[in-house]
Amino acid sequence: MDYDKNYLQAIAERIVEKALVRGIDDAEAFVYAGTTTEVQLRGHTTKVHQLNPIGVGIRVVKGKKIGFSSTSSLEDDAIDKAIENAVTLAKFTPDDNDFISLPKPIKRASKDGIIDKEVIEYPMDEFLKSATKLRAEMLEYDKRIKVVEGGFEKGYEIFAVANSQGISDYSENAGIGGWLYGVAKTETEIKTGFDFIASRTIPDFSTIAINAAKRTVECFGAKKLEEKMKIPVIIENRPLSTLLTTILSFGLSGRNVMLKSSYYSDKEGQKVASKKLTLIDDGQLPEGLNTTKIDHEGITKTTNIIIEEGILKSFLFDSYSAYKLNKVPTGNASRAGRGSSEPFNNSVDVSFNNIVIQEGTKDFQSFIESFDQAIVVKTMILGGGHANRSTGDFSVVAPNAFLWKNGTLTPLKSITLAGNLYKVLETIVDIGGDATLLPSGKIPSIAFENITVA
Amino acid sequence: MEDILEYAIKAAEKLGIPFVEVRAEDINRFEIESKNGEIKQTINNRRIGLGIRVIYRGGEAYAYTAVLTKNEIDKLLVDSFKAAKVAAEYVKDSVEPAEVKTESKEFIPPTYKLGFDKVSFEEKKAQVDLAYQASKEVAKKATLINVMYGEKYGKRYFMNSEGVRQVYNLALTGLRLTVVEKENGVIASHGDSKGGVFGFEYFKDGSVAVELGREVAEIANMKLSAKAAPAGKFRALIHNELAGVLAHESFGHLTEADSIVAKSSPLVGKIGEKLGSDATTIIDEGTPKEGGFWLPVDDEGVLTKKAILLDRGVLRGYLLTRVTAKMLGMEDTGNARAIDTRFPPIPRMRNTYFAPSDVNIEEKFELLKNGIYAVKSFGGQVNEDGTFMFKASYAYLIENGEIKEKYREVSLIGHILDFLKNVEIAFNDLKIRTSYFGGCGKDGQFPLPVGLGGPHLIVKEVHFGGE
Repeated sequence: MDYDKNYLQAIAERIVEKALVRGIDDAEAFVYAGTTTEVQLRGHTTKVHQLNPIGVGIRVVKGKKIGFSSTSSLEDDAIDKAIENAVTLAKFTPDDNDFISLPKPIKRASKDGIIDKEVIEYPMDEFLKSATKLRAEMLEYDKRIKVVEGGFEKGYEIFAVANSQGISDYSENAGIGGWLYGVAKTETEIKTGFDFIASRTIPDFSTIAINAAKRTVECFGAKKLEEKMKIPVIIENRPLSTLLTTILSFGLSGRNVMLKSSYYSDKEGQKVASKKLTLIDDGQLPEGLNTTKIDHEGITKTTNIIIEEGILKSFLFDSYSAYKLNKVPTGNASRAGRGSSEPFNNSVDVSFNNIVIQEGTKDFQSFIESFDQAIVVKTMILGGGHANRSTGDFSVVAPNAFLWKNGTLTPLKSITLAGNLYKVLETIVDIGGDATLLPSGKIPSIAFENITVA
Repeated sequence: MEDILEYAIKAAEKLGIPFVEVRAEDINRFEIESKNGEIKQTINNRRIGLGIRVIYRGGEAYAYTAVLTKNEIDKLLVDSFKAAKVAAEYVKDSVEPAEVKTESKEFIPPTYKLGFDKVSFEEKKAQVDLAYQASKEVAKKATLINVMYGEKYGKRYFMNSEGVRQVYNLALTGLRLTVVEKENGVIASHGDSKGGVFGFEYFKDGSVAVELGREVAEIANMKLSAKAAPAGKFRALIHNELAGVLAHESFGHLTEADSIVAKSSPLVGKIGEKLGSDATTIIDEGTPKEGGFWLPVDDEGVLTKKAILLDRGVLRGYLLTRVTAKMLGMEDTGNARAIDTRFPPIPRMRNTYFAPSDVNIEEKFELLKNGIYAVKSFGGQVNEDGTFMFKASYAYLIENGEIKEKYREVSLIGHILDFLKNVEIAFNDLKIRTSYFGGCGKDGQFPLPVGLGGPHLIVKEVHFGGE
């Protein structure tokens, strides 16, 4: 990438200066440059896709009115126009009476996560070679595997934030990862499975081909679950992370606490989960994929204990929600939006950095074996993203589920799991010792009671 | 902008790249959203970006950048050429893009008059307020009135190593309004939009905003007193917009050439087969005279051709791009589209519609005689195997050619091939519409503006799923 951190920071500072002479009270600039390279495997085609987005998001304040505008360019005329637009919008929007101030700097000894030069410079030829080799390995692993899709990606980004309240800082971030998805067919059954890896250092990609292949074919010969069973449900770390992040990112968001739309709004200091659960949002986990020195409004990130032995200790705050509730911002401001490669286009919201759940001691196999009987949900769940985030109700489909009984693991035809996530945290039976680095943090497998299986 | 594209083409030639396309754009997007008369959100952004696509012996690489410098272009060209070469080693059948005839020129929509950059924020906001006021006067039981204004405009540039030089002027605007009303425990909602490929002149005198506000509120009022729809099989009259959604969602996608090449579409190998009744002709084209989304040229610089997909029930064609046309040995239709320069073009629809006949629309109830009239469209879903579930915004029960009952939302369930066989009549009232809001999604490229439509259709039997 042609940009360096100091250059972006200088642009951010200049935008704030330029905006302030236009008759407004406060201004903030978020300046971003990123590069990602992706190799896509689809059917028999192999494609390479490289994205080098840059841009700025500008927030200006006039009294209690806020204007936001963005542009995917660092050209002077595009930036000037964006400033002008933000200033115009700040004149016409109604007063936001919950708004107190743009963020003020907080001194914390925070750092960016691991930046591995080898990741940034990882050659595309290597990606193409290993992607193609892994596809072949998966197809050879089991002749029933007919289709393999996948993607391998590396990314590097830098961003700078400056505002008229004294913030001026920058961060950088780099990561690499890949996924493989298989479809296996026999005359009577179709099974799917996948595996992925995400890391800040060069990972051993060869593991995902074998794992994805195993996970694709291990559910052949599935039996129908005959009865409704009231037994513990063990959800493996990967599918669990989707469900947890979907619901808890809403429930723990300071913005939702402020609006009283969160289940946890009035529960600070109360017991909300089993004593076994300690959940941390760690913005400073060196290997965590969302670790940076500052968040998207320039507040230093930190390690924040959210639930300690079942007691709700804190929420996730950006400056807007923290100031309104007389709290301190926790470094959770994010403009990421969903799957956005251009965060500068979005205004600030709240999200997790890295969810870290304190793990138990047993690996996944002995964790299962410690139960007399249980439903075991592996690989993926469908519909986790559609859970009701405010009530916590979920109903998801698990295509890769098993029944553990009499010492054997029997694959099941797709089952439905229904329950209330906020409530089932109170009835955690046990926590596994298999916490794995995932895009959302470090999460182990967990066994729950009170999940309905059908 | 043209200079940097020319530079990229020349630099590619120097590097010995046999085929390259360079697309660039400078596009503005602006939206205002109001909730119960107060501005809730505004979106304002501008994209200045450039994409390079290299094809080498079947291997393909694509790169996007917002950094428009010679240095950056040089680097991306080297990277992409290398990537395409390596990718080519893993391609089974090496296919080059089909040869096409096209022209180099600037394309300007004939219906685009008053540029959005010449109109103030206040004038645009005034349209949102007008629509809100008009709606509020009619919808007395409203608990929510949501209004959105949107505009997207600017230039898109295309050049390739075959000497094609084009500029396409994009313009799309719209106003959308949703009303939720509540009375005696019944909640009724309705939403609709107006707009298309126009400049601000489309809204200027305020009549469009007022009309939209009133229309939506009147239908919401009607739905408050309407009944829940029954379930079961009925003879049906299908409204233009719903016909368009069926043509696009459940049939059009199956004809996109990437799903034909990958053999995942149920229409693979069915050219020449009779799939629908004699009343079903489905067309996809770039510049229909009835309106819709104006697209004279696609994102491979190919002039858009009228593609007759279904001709009186017989499957005649697919939606093709240069590479898929070559692979299938067919003529390119100009269906390669990319939502913006971050993405490479892939097979997409343009304006997809059922063709009309000369049966007079005035006779619609008479010819239906008994059945359900399903009006407008309100979402739904389609599976790759051709099964669908669509919702109509509201419906009427028709008995002996007269309206007997009003229903709130109804859902239609079925398989597109059964549906096509059951179409008895296509009327003479072809309408094609497009919208700033929503659009088509595929491979992460959403929302791509498309047009859809048709005349009213009479269908022998449709499975309705109740409310």
